[in-house]
Amino acid sequence: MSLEITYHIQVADDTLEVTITPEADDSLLVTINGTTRRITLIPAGDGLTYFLTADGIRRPVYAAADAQSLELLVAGDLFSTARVAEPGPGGQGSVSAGSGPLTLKAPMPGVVKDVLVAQGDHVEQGAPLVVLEAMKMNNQIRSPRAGSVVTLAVTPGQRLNRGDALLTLS
Amino acid sequence: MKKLLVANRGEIALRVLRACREEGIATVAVYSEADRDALHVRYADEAYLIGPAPSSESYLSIPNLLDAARTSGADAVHPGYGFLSENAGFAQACANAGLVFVGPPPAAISLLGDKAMARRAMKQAGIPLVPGTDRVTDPEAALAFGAEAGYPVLVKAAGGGGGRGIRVVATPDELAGALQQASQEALQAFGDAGVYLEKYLLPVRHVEIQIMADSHGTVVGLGERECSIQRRHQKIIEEAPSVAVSPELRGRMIAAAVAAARAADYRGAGTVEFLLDRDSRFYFLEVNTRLQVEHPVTELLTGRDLVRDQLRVAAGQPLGYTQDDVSPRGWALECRITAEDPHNSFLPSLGRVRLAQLPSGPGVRVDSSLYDGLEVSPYYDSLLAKVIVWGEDRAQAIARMRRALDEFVLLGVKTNIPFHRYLLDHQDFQAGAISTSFLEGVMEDFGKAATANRDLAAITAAVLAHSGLSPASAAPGQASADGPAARSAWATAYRMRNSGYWKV
Repeated sequence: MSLEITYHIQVADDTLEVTITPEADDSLLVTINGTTRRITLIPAGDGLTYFLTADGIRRPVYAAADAQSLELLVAGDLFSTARVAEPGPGGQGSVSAGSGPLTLKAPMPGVVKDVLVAQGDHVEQGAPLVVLEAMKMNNQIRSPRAGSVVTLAVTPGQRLNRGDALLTLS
Repeated sequence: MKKLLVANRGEIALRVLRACREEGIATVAVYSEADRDALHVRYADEAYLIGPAPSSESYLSIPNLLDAARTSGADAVHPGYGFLSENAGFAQACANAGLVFVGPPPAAISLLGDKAMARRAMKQAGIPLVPGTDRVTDPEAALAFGAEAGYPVLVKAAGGGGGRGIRVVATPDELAGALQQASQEALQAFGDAGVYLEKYLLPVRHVEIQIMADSHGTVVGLGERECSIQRRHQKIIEEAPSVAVSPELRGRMIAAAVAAARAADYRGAGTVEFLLDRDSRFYFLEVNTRLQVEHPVTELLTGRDLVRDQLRVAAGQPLGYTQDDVSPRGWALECRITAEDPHNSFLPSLGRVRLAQLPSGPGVRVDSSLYDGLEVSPYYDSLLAKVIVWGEDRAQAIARMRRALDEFVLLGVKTNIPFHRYLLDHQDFQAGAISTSFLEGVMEDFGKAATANRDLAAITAAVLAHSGLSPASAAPGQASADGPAARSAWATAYRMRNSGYWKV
């Protein structure tokens, strides 16, 4: 299954928002500062070297981690980075139970293959809700938390764009 | 010479020790408390602690150095560059202690070390000088010079050299005050309050000639080095030959440099520095009475081993070659890699080096005392390594240097490598259109190029978190998933992904 996640990365004195959407071919669509690139990151296996391919250009980056930060060497430039929590309520990473209605959206364009729940159903965290077919693969969209299906917005065969609403959980 | 003590540290100490090894001379290293684990210490046959970290208490302490020489039974001393290499008192003290000093005689060091006196000697030898004065104390005399030569002028410390103790004066009103301040600073920095003036020639190239003189009357000029890429008078990139020097000009500059060496009764390795103006006129600047940082550029170009030549000359042997035997081939280029943050005013970057890879391959030489775990400390200069390349022509040398710098993988401290890459890619540098003001002109554009790499770093950090990959925090080869990093936020992201969380 695929999902869009936003990370907040501190690089030196700046905090940058990086949004990642996995693609079916194992690449990632990564958006930063309004620019989206197709990215793959492949470890060389030495715990230090990673091959970063960004929009078709491959380059090695080197990483060394300690308790507080991750050092990254990119084309000779050394950066000290750290992942920070999103400021504000319902911070990213919190799989909060019962924090108000949650509208789940399609993480990528595709076709609704199967709808596995009905309005009013109670679901547990991790329960499959909708199957979205994209790039010839079936992606199960699972529930992030326990709740009830308040409204269902899609039916099988429906073509969706990224960000279109799927259903609302209580 | 049976046993030689290197009165220095870092990459130059290692360089000298290597030449001694090849010549069958036993080696003695000295070190301060900060350098206990240094490479040059491990390399030598014997090593002696000569004091605490501050240079004044160790590498600059003549008594401590002579003590170490006595204890080790060394019969020769090589001063390297910097530190006491141009200190006539040290050269004399070595002589008095019966030690062979690998360098020029104390009298030559004195004469050429006093930059005002050196100018006088060169003038007498008929060598063209940068328009300037002798020692100046009277503001009236200074103003008279300024009126004649035109502004801007430079106020320079007579005891300075190597780009230190220089002040630019743009207008006559500033001159008196500048003289005063420069004199005070010179007294503090060099123990000599004397200053002299020079016309500030712009645009100009800094082109220097490597000379080697033996005690049998042979003085050879080993070609020029182009050293115009400087930041605050400190060289960053050097190359040989210079695009601005024709064979005819080279002949005349070598002749002038050799004449300068003879005028000073010089012995050993030395460098005669000139300024070359747009009309190919050259002017004497100063003589450096020591081996220089950038000597490998000449070594790669000519195939000669300058330290070996120094050792032979010091032992009283004839140089073994003449001017006609010097045959430069191809092009050589050097980048000085320093522990400085190029995006933050080149402030020193201190820390523990994580060295993963040094450049290698055809035509690539690295002179360095780097090792994994080295602590870059504030006590000494920030030079981490010199990367020197040789190519058949300038274009190949540049391509080779770009490749070599891409292979240099060092974490833990910031380096000026991104700045070197930027300079090597600059169209003016590639065209050879450089002067001593080149660097100032490119700093602003360099600042703008910085954000691209920063974004890639953020992307990499986010993707590492997303994928649950955690880099090793210890030596390479160690399993990364169990380290402290794995138990951090990175692993949380991994678990979250698998549990079906996504952002709405």
